[in-house]
Amino acid sequence: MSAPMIVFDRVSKNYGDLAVLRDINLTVAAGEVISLIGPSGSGKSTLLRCVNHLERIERGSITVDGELIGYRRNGNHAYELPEKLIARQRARIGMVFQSFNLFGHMTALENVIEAPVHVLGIPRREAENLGAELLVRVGLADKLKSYPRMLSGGQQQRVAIARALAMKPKVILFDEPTSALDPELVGEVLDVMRSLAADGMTMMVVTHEMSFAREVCHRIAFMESGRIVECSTPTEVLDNPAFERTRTFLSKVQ
Amino acid sequence: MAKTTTADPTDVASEATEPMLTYVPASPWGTRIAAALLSVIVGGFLISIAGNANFGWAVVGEYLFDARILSGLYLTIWLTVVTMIIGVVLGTIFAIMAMSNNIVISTVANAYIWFFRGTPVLVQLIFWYNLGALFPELFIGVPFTPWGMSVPTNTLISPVTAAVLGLGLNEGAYMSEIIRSGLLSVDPGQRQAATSLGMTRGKALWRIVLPQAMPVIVPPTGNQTIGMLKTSSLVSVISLSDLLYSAQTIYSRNFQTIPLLIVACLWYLLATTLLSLLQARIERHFARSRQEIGAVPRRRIFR
Ligand SMILES: Nc1ncnc2c1ncn2[C@@H]1O[C@H](COP(=O)(O)OP(=O)(O)OP(=O)(O)O)[C@@H](O)[C@H]1O
Ligand SMILES: [Mg+2]
Repeated sequence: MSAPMIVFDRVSKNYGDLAVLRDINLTVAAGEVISLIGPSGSGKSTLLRCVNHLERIERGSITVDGELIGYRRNGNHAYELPEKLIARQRARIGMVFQSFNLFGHMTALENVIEAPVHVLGIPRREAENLGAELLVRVGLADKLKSYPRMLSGGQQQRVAIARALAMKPKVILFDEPTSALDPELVGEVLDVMRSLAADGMTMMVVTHEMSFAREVCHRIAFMESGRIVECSTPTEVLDNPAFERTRTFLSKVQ
Repeated sequence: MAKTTTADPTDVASEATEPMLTYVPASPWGTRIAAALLSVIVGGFLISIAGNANFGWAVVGEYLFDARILSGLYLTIWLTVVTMIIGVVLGTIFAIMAMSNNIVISTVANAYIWFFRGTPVLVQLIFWYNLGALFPELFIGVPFTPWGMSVPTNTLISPVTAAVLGLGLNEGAYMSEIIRSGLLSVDPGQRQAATSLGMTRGKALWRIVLPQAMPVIVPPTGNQTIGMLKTSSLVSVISLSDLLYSAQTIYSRNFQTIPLLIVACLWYLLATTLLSLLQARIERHFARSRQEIGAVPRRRIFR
């Protein structure tokens, strides 16, 4: 675990007058699992959405696997890429949402193979084999033909993870993947994420599940008002926070 | 299940000696009486029409397959199909334009919708038909440059072209509102998920958003199509012989007004029935991801 996979270099972003991200510096190594915690509105989702250029940043740069995301560099200028090329970059950056966002008109398997077939151009038969394999891996062998409406929240989120995996992503970004789930369904999703971590997937996880963060993540970054206040190992941040603000936040969520 | 010997409050019922209940559903006498009465009234009404010589059923039979009626029917159906296709295509384009972030693009789309929904379609038809009087020559080519050629308007705009333009442009304005509301009904998260999987906006629209907007788009589009079947009869003002106009031409000579109007109505009803069946099929197709599919129970006659 050494090569840098995601590098945030002095990243700042505003919404109008509101500074949502301020001077973010962070390097996520290949195979590292890092969790983002912090109060509501601190910019965690925004930071994730900037990684695959769903949002533009105003200053600084974000690279994934050495590649500037959304822009082409020429000297000291970065020119925004045409949509097609940005889409190609996004294809290798997986994203899992709080509200699952499965495609409602497609079965679980169709959800998983949609992008491999229609973005990567993989033959349908081949994609179906891969998709079925992935669904088995997330424990949904018997749900291939089910529509999202017929699945529980935990099952839907596992399909969403399989859908992200089907693109063979370099990294996966999770934005509160278990926040919309009933407590007894949280575990099944975390189990899948745990096994991804064990396989060496690079992951950024916004979460309120402190026990998951402690057990699975290599580092935890605490954010507040657009800044990364501290970023260190789970034991450091959770048991021995260096900053008063981290301590107050943790006393509220734990 | 093992039998427990401990005193369990939930077990009391099984200890009791009362016999099992037989359930009898409430009998809907009120509904049955109403249904029977309605049958009598409707039946009487139908018989009084069928037996009434003033309706001229013999004349109806005589003209039902008249060549003029059939060619009118053909024009009506042809106009409906062509203008609806134009309407759907224009509607989709203008719906997407109206939702654009670019103010010029969205303003142009909204102005189009405002104008064509805001003026009577009859006036629009007459306008297109008389375009030659307003612009005697049409210039086809690059605007503000001499490249291109001028064509006399009347050779370009035949009555059929005028009808297709008038009805199609008008329909496009209505369809764009229907399609826009359909697109808005799809959760924005769907587009985000598609984008994050590497789809371009166009692909996300075509593969993810539009299919999920269809259940909202199809029923009002069916309504519009059936409406167009009859709205198209306005083309008689620009001397096109559609179904209704053909019937009118015939009864203006033989004065069998009612029978010929019945002939026209029978054909309109048949076309409407077929269109409704087609709509139901399309709706079923787009509802297949919904659990409730096939769950509608068969209706009883007297219950
Ligand atoms: N599209 C937007 N326009 C304007 N302001 C926005 C927009 N999206 C987010 N914000 C603001 O940016 C700030 C950061 O939002 P963000 O969603 O990143 O917070 P978060 O840390 O993910 O919070 P939560 O834990 O509630 O999800 C908030 O103050 C929010 O109000
Ligand atoms: Mg958030």
